[in-house]
Amino acid sequence: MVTKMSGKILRIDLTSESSKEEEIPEETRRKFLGGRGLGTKILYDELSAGKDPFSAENIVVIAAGPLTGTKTPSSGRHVVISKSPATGGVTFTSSGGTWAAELRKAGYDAIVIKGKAEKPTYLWINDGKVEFRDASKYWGKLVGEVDDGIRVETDEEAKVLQIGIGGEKKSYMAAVMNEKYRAAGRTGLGAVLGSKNLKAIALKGTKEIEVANSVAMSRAADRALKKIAESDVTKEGGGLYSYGTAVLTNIINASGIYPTRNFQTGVFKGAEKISGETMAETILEKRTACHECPMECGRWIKVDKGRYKGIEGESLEYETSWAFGGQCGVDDLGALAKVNHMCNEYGLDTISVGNTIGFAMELFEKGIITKKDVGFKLKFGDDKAMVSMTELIAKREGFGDVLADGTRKAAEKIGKGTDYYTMQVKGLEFPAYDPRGAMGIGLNFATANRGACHVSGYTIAAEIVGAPLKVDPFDAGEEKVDLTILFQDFTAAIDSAVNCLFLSFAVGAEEWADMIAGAAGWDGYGVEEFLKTGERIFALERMFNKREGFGKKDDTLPERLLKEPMPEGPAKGKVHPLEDMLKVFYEKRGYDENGHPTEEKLKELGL
Amino acid sequence: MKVKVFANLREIVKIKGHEIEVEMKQGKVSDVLEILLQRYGTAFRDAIFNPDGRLRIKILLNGRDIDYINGLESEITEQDILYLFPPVAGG
Ligand code: SF4
Repeated sequence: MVTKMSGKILRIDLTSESSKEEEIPEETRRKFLGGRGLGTKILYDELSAGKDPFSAENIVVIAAGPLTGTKTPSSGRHVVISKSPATGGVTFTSSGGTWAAELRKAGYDAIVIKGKAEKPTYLWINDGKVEFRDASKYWGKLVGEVDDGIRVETDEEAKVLQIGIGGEKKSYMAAVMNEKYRAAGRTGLGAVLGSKNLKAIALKGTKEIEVANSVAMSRAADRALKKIAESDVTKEGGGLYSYGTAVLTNIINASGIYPTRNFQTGVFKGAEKISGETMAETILEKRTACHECPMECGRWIKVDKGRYKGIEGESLEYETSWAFGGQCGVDDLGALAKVNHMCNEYGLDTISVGNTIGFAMELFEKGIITKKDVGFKLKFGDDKAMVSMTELIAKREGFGDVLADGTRKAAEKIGKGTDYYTMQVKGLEFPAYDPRGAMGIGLNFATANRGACHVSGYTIAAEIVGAPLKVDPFDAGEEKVDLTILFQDFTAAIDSAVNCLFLSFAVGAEEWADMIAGAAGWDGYGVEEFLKTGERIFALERMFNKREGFGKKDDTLPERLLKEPMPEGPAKGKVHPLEDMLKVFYEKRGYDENGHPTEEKLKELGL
Repeated sequence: MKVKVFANLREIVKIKGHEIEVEMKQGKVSDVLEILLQRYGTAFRDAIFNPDGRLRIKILLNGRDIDYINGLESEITEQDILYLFPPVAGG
């Protein structure tokens, strides 16, 4: 039986310039939903082990989910799934905006891309009609220009997803951009599209997104909306709405876990100057939002004085302002806006680029690299050096070429024991939380299947923010392990539904399960099945990675966080107690001592 | 001692540097809140307490949530910093 909501998969073979449509089997839908789950399932079934992420055989899935584009809140996200050049494992990375809603209106739930185009190519998908078009003239151009150009050539209203120069140059930090300012940033999937010579996908859709039981879905969506409106965190005029994601800067810094100068400490003196509050007082022009989102966490900023005057656009999420702020020791919002803008225009992941520059700054501080290597002084706090290095990374020029594939690869090239200073797990750079003062997020960073990823299990919500529940960040006991697992499973399910994870600050699994049940028309679908889906997806990612040689050795944290006590602040003296937590984590998850799901667990999950 | 306020609270406590000086050599978190309530009035009270009297903000004492010290009874000395955070989130 095919439910009413079902869109199709569009299969693209770039080598033969051919496409075909395919139904998604009902069993796959119910077990994996869409988005991250569907993409992981396709990768697991169709990509055998050991393939080079840049080979024509690698597969890129760009997927929406059963709730995407519907009237359920915050439902404009898509997820990109592939084998990552940064980690060597399966990965997902998601982005907001409206592109995903357009994909469903064009009749598709997912696009599955294989092969390699002979020359730079873009896809023009217009309500089910697929064209392969020459993108040679867009190769080497900035993201804004390409977006404008393709819309002139196709349809002014088309939604454009693309890679930038970072992807063309196969940087392991290359993002998949959409609608100019939105990025599926992490794990280098822009480089995989670059290796396939696929520059962009422009979409136009006019079909109605059908749902099986719109009354039931709307009823659940209304409950979710009510919770959003009632929560002090997510309501109109609340913290996230008024100050954007960078409202976190001060609370994370006050909690002593704001990674500063490459995680040398957790307290940044300049935090207030780059906080969401300061942004609202100085450079904020207006709020922006994704499809059907009342939370409006996006910021449109304009810098009207100083060295970076004139920078304007959608910009400066918390993670980005940290990556170039605390991590590089820079406290000038104008400079942060500038590098954010550059990363958007070049199609690069702001988190990894900022993290990597901070890493290089520490090497410079310690004299391991010098002006002779870099070409200029690369000191913490030097905004001009940071801007220059971002440019070099994007173009793979000079020392930028050494850094362009992130910290793990850079340390391999530089040698001299520099891997100690790489703040990454499984090849993915850390985001903006020091695990020495929040034990759950540390366990999540170590065990997340795509590496040091905060959005795999965002325990910070409970450990620091206190939404929707509150726990002690220093606790590292069994309850914390349970919480981390719950967050990981819940997130994997949300990423497959697909709505924005930020909804979970206010909305619970009950509403989600009911929205899905309504959209899909599934009887008896509830919280338990929804969370089981997340657990299944997490385990399947593990099984993919097992085939690629991943095991306990990869579920780790940088030595600095395990051995160097936090030097100051509320978490002073603490290191992360990973080993003890990991043992409990494997047991509770039903994984063996090497971190792989046991036969019994796989059977239970129907894998 | 010092009290730092954030996000929407800054719209109520309009003070330069968003940092309030409170004369107190020794006392409890509740004593500090009492002083602030007198100073900033109803809008401040509504921002920090729910109608049922429960705290609606997060209070950190030197960076540690008071829930994990001794709640509103947590002891304060002159050098301490109290952080008042209305509900915020992001990521
Ligand atoms: S909360 Fe922010 S990122 Fe999420 S859907 Fe809304 S505007 Fe987009």
